Amino acid sequence: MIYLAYPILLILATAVERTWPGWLLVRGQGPHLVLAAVISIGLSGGPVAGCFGGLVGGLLLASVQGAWLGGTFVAYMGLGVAVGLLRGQLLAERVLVASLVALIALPVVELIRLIFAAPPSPGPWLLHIFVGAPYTALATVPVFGAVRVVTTLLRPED
Amino acid sequence: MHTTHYRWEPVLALALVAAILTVVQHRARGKGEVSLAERAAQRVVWPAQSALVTFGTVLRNLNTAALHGGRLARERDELLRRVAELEADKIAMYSYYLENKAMKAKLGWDATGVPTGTPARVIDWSSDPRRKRITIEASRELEQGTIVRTEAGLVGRVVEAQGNRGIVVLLLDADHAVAARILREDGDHGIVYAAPQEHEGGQMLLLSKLPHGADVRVGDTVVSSGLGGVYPAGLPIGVVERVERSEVNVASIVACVKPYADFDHLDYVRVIRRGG
Repeated sequence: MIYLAYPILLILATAVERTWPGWLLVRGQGPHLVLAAVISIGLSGGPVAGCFGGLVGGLLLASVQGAWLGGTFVAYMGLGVAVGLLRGQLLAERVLVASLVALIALPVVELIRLIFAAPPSPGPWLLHIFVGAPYTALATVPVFGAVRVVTTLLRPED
Repeated sequence: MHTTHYRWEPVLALALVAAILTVVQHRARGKGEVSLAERAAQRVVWPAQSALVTFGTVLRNLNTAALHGGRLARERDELLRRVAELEADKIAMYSYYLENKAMKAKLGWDATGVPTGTPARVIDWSSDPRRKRITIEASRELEQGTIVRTEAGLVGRVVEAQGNRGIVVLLLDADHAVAARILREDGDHGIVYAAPQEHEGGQMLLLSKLPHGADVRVGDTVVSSGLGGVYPAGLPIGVVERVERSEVNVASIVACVKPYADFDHLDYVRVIRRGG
């Protein structure tokens, strides 16, 4: 059941991320809600759930963006597994940890994607990281809450 | 703190699925198609995006109505009066159109039709700096190759369609080019493509592959030439803002073209069926 709920959350996160209202953009940047959702799924459900979240989230995001799947899968699934290993560790269920992970994860994910598809100029890419990372960390708070509620209600099997 | 032992077989299986999806995507893109998995993903996300865009519009309208109700009522009265005036102008314009058409027919020129097409709204903007694309939703079914424009000028064409939604490759896309010409009698032909770097005053297009010694001037209008058959002839693209001559060969010319379409504020566009 939880593996039906996570894709629905990811579809919602993708749609909201892609239609983020213009007046909420900070220097043209919005939060990476799919990334926040993958982190939250990993922290709440473990590495398998995180990997599954990364697969579905990467597929949805890359398909809508018209991006290559390979780099996106490596970045998001790797992140999902890595974050999933934190599950059950000290403070892993704290929203602050999820936010901190998001703050670090965005530059890491974007660096991995950079290897697969380099941007034409570094300026916008750096702006994207410096503004996007804290914004994503902030947006992780409600996303993590939603994922925690869904996980608690549906109790995943490891 | 406790140690948990995870089963890694599901992770490996998911990695295998990811690898298969990646290979399938590469193969599909090699043929200029979109893989089944991507189409399925778009099919589930696009309706959600469409609903969110509608929800956002309703919220904005409600907010505007709540905050500016009185002023809006006055504006409405003023607009109704203006509509009546414009209706009168429209009737006059239509008579000019008929007159113009008759004159063109006498001169043996092709008579251009009245504006056609269906409005469509933009529901997604590509964030990839190289692949400039938008996703649109029209009131009728879209077809691959459908032309997309605003009232001001050409925007691009539909490269992928699913029902009434489709992905549009913009003139600003790095991999896109349009056969164009200068709008003048015997205007020179060339190719318009996206300028590699953003210029002051927004994103620009470049008109190149012009014949040696081509007559291009600042202020010239650039329109699609219809060569190649991708775009029909005569669609407005932009205006020449600067003309650069090669230092090596002065006869080699590249013109910087400012697009007529406002690519920074594409909310609604018009889709025109090829030949329509």
